[in-house]
Amino acid sequence: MPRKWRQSDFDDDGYDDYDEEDYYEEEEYLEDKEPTSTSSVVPGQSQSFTSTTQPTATEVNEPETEEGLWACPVCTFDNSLDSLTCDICDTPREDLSEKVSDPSTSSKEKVPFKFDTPSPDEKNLAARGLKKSPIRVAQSPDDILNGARSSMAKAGTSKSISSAVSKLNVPGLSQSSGASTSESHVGNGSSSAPEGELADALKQMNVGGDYMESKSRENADASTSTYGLSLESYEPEPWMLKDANKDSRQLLHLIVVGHVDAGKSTLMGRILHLLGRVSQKEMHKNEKESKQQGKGSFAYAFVLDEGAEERARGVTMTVAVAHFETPKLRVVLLDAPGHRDFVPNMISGASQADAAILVVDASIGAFEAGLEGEGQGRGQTREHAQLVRSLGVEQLIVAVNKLDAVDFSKERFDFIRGTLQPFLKQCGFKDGSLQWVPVSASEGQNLTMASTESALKAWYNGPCLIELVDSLKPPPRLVARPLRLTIAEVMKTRTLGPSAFGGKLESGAIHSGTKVRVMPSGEIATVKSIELQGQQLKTARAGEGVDVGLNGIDPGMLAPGGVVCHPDYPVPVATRFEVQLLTLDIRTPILKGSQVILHVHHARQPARVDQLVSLLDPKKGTVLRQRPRHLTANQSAIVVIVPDEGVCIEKYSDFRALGRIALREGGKTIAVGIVTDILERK
Amino acid sequence: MKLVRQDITKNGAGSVKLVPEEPEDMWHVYNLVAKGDRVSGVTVRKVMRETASGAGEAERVRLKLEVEVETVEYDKVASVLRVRGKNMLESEHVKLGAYHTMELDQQRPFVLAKAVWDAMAIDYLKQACDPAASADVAAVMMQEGLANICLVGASITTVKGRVETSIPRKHGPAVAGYDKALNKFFENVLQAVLRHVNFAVVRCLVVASPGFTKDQFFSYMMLEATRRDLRPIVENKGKIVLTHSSSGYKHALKEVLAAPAVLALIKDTKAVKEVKALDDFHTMLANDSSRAFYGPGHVFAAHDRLAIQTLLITDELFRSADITTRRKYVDLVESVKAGGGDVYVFSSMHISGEQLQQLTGIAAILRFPLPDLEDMEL
Repeated sequence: MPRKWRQSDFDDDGYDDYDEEDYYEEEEYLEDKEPTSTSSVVPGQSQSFTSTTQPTATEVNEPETEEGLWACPVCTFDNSLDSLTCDICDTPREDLSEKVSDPSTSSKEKVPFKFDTPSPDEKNLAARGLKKSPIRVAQSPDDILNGARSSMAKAGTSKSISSAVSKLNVPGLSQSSGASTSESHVGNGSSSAPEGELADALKQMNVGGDYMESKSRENADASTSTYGLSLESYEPEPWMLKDANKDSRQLLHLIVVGHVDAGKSTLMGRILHLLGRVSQKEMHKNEKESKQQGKGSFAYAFVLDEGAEERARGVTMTVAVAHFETPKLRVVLLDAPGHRDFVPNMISGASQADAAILVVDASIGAFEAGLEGEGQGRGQTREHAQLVRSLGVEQLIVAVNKLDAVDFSKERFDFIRGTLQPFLKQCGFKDGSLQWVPVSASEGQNLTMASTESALKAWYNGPCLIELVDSLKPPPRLVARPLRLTIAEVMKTRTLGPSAFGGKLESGAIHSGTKVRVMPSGEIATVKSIELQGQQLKTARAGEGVDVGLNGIDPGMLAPGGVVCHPDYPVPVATRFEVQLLTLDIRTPILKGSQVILHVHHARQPARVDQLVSLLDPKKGTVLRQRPRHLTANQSAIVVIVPDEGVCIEKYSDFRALGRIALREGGKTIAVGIVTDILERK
Repeated sequence: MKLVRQDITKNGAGSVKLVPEEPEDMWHVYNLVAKGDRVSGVTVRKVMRETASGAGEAERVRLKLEVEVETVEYDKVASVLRVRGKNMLESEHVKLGAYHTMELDQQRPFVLAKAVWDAMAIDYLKQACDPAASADVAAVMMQEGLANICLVGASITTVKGRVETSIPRKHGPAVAGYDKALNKFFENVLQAVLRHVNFAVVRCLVVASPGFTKDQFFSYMMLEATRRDLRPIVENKGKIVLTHSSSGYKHALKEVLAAPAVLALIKDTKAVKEVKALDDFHTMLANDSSRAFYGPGHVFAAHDRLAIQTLLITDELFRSADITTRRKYVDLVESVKAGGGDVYVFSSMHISGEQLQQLTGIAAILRFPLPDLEDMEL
């Protein structure tokens, strides 16, 4: 995987070096023309494809041939030529000379591991037609247009399969691979009907994404096998992949963040109202209630702030969930609290999110407070932006709110944009995935339709907020992976029974009757029923946030932060693990033995820093110093963390959603990071 | 602790007779008694006695014994100390040199004899017998769904109770369940407070939480107190302080102890001083890292250059079984004091002490920067 500083030509951010894999995807995305040319050749030639074309493929697939770097065969990290072992995983460096000298040797011997090069086992599997779906995608130009990632992966796959097959000289096998190709053609023909096209392509892309990722895990971690089966051995069951849901619109989890009183709840309440999600009667009730409490302007916020305490204080405290639909998406809206005391709640919400809206208060003084913070600590505009990025959100819409308070001044909007942009870039957001929109929640300007206010129309004619939301791209879902369902909250309802919980399916799928293992307790239970917004569902797949009732388990075994898994593929319960950290703006340094609160998905737990392993160069990722005495602001380091109790966590390279952590102390987020290794587990 | 009789000289042999009075005193005794000391007192031992018929019969006998200490065990929950060693006092039931485990408890006098009373031990004795030092603060650390009830004494912090409930989120049909769960949670916390907090002893009860949980709990507590006529709470309303903390975990206690409202009540207690000293160390490390060091290697090296202004050290280090190690640390403390520096001996039973313990147990703020020391691997 390319190192960030090499990318700096088109993307200059100094923040997110620990997040290399995200960048890898980005890069593929940008390069999508390249694989198109190679992969489109494949269909007709799949049987006659020989090793002569191999060098081209190798070139596309192996960025590590670039000078000064070598790619680790295990974790694909790009190391400098000076180091003999991988900086990340300590794998010894392979001899590159062999590969360069003889391009005709079989790729399976010489090519260090890459996402898009299948291992010998997989070639066999694929040749037997067991994993047809990934091969199929590569054949269709539609798919290449729609799913750049998958096409790249598949281009490599089908080529190396055919080459492997031809080298093996087994006619029967090569025919079967040909058969699978043509069969997939048919599949694609039908799917290119205009209506289902996008959804289908996306679906395939998702499957492709899994496939690609599952391979990255192939040789990455054999050690997991001692604790349950290794993730790679997983074969998804057919029902999991079938798309039973008629609504072709993709699901998107969208979190709304921002400084306290920026107007997050009001903005979202207004949008829900405009979209007809709130009945006139309810709205009337909210208006009456807010007037009674002397907070007339909170009427829309009351749509989301349902708790008595929240209404009385006019502050969102927990993450409220609402649903709405746009032409392309089914959006699950998560309204996060902005008050600094409730950042832990916001973290657990953000860990579910695919995209975010950052609401910024444009009125004089309020924006500055959100960024710099009043009194102690930093403002939540800053903290939230850093947190959502480090929790895996890549796409961000910045909604500059309350523009009515500054007479829809373009100068103010530009000033805010100019101030925030460098900071967000530093957080790791790309220019391409950042969008800016001026809005006014109280006046209802530029929310669901273009503005009617002449002062705003005069200088802004871009898309309104909902159009921007509609343009967001849902990330690939890991449907074909073993089940991972994080528990966000435990509840008791009449329909779901006493052992019920709500959470998001990070991978895999469930239907009623599925046997599951509830971690960290390790108890086995059966899915009794699944609900989405109070509606019964038959199946739920990766990406969906659902409420699930379980049979055969004590409610006490369920707790927020737990993970419901496939019985044979339990999530590790780590009691000691290594992370790569990036410290934020901290005043007290992080020392060996520092007490912190660890946040991973919905789990929060006291933990301590057990060891400061090494200090890294934030730009290059090289080790600056072994065993540093302390970590100060904006440093990157490898540290070992020991939670008070076991915590459900995965290596970031294995499973991103469960491999991202945030450390907080004294009410402030002090560091964010990714799990690089699990050292001890229960 | 009551000092009944003392016969000691600095750096010489001697003995004291002590009567522990409070649970905290047992902790002091634990810090005083070291391996090789002699402890004598009244104890109970099961003795086999032969009856006329020749059958053995066990009998519990109260007798006075003196043991040469080999191991000391501190039971935090029951507040007792178990001292194990060889018997040194001849008696009709126990042979000389036989092993015996003596239990030291509150209100049971005992005599402690040491071959050497070093400065640390004498200081500690003085501190332990100072009646003014006791300052109990009860703290309820809360966040939604989690509460820790802690008692902060002069030198120990104990978690008396922990309440954990999972509280559903507010949306959808679960809204009613949310209020119900929250009230149940408050009720559990209130019961724990009533059981563990003795308002006759504590100076104040601090309720700390992020957000509004503390206010919600306070109003719940007052409402219930009036309704059910809970005298201890109604009468001590003035002793209840609300303050902000970042979480409901035990280690957020240091924020509570630093909060101005609490600080005013317990200004001079050891716990508060320790929190402040550790905070200073952290600030120094952040601002000028060449003036703050931790770990024995660095601290001793800094002391060689007479650079130590403030020494932070946990009592755990003095409890070392190895005489020479203890000697080394005692000498360090004395020589820093002689050089005009400040020494804070942290109780490892406090939050700040626990934290310092994680940080190798010893740290120092220097008078002048020593940049070369920073690069040294020690």
